[in-house]
Amino acid sequence: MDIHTERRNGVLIAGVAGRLDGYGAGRLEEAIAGALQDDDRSIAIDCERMTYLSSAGIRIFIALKKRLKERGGTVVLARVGDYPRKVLEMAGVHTVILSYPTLDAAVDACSASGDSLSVLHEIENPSRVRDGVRYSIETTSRDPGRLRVTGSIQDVLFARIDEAAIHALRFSDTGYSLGLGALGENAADAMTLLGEMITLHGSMVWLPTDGHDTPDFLNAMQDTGDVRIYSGFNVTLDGPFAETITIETESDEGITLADLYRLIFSLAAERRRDHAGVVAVAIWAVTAGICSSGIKRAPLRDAAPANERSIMDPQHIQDWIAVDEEPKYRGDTMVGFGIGVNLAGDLSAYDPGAIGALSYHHPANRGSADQYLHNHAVIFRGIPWDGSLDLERQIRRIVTDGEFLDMRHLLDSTRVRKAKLGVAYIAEIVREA
Amino acid sequence: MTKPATLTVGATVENLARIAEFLEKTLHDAGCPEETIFSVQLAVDEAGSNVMLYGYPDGDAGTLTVTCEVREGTIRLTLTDDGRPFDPLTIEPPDLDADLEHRKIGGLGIHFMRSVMDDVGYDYIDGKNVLCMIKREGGT
Repeated sequence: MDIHTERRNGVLIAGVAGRLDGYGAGRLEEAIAGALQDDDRSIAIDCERMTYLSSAGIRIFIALKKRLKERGGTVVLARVGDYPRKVLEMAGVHTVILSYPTLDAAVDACSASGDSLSVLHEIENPSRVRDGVRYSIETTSRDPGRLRVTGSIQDVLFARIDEAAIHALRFSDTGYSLGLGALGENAADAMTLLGEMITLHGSMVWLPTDGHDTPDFLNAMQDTGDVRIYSGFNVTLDGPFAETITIETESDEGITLADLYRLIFSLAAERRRDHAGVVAVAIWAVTAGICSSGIKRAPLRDAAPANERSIMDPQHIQDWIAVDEEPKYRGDTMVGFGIGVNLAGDLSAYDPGAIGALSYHHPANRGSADQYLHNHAVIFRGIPWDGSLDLERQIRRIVTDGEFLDMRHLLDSTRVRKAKLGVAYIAEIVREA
Repeated sequence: MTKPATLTVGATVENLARIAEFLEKTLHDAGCPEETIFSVQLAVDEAGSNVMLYGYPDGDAGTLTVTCEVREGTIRLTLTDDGRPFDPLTIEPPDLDADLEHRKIGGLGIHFMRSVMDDVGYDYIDGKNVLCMIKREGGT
């Protein structure tokens, strides 16, 4: 019994060699559970080398078909031999689990069933293709966006945070935000644990800098109204997202976060959008590999590098920042929030001090001289992708019910295959004292 | 062939392949056609799977003995196990016309056993489940 999985045209193929009996069925179930990714809709089971089939195998086919039907997909068989075909007929499932004479025909049948953007969505917002990325844009609000910045990223970069620089943010005031924060009894207690943080529509996830690299999670249900987030630096979006952009790539490798932001900026320029120099973006995506970095120690004044250089300086970066450029979490789901500054765009309307308070150059973000990006994301597993769902409702559902895996500060080389983006064009950046 | 062939294995699903090989050899040596061998393998596999998956709910799998005898064009199979008493013939047959949503997951195995064999009988003797299946050459 041997099972081999691969993908062709975005369809998961499981090749079964040997006996699909009570033992093989368990093996097949495990193999598919391990290979199924959040944007998979359909599976083609290649039976060319399957020598035997019993009711246990049929049971797996039916259970899988039920499960994938919920994702709008299907299960089909390819190259079924004479004997297994008789078993399928005897079970009366040959009309429910369809089989095809070639693997190509089976894959085509799967692709047809898993049409990417829903029909209704397609009529309302016709999709276009650019550089292998299919996208559609839906306008959701005419109101301008505004960013509220507390603290400054410069105080993080130069480790200048002390108790006086800690802001106590009300949980309910930080719908979508990112920065450096901690939960704790009081500012003095929390500031020693300051780490990468994100709030998403009623949930906060942060990475305490206690050396364990294990995220801590709080959702609105646990908020009695007096929970405070102690933050040394935070950027919060005020106002709604102006547009929802849905993108799907044709390759398993997807596109980088850097190219995703370039697409946002270039689409905005073509449509002569106002306030497009700075954008705030909420994202729900199926990843093609997350590359990340994270601050390892709270950037407190007492611990600042003696030579007064940045913690990103080549001399110090290893002590302060954990960089992981090996792509992780392929095929899992991420929800996140980020800020993008288009350095090639018109930034004259913004206060330069405010731009400086929220943007910086990360040395691991090579080849991104045209833009500053700052994105944090929470990673989940087992959330079926469905680009027709409402973005904000889906983000809320994922952070409330999803199987939580991790929280990361994303490098621009992070890749996504499919994504739904809420984009706010920022008219004003306000610094709070 | 007159002398029955016997195989005893641990009652775990990893051993289904060994039972299939045993039947293949025994029936092939007795001159049975391929199609008959497949049918017998399927029936014994389904009966054996039931024992292995449900016969030992406490986890300590016992043994399953398969006896195969071919005489005068009749294949007689006996499966004996020391699991909890269980008569597979009491399982309700599946609705083969049901759509996907209403497909019951169970019952298919016993349906296969009845479909490919001419006679299936069960008895509980001396603390053991004894399942007897008969296939007549030229039968279904």
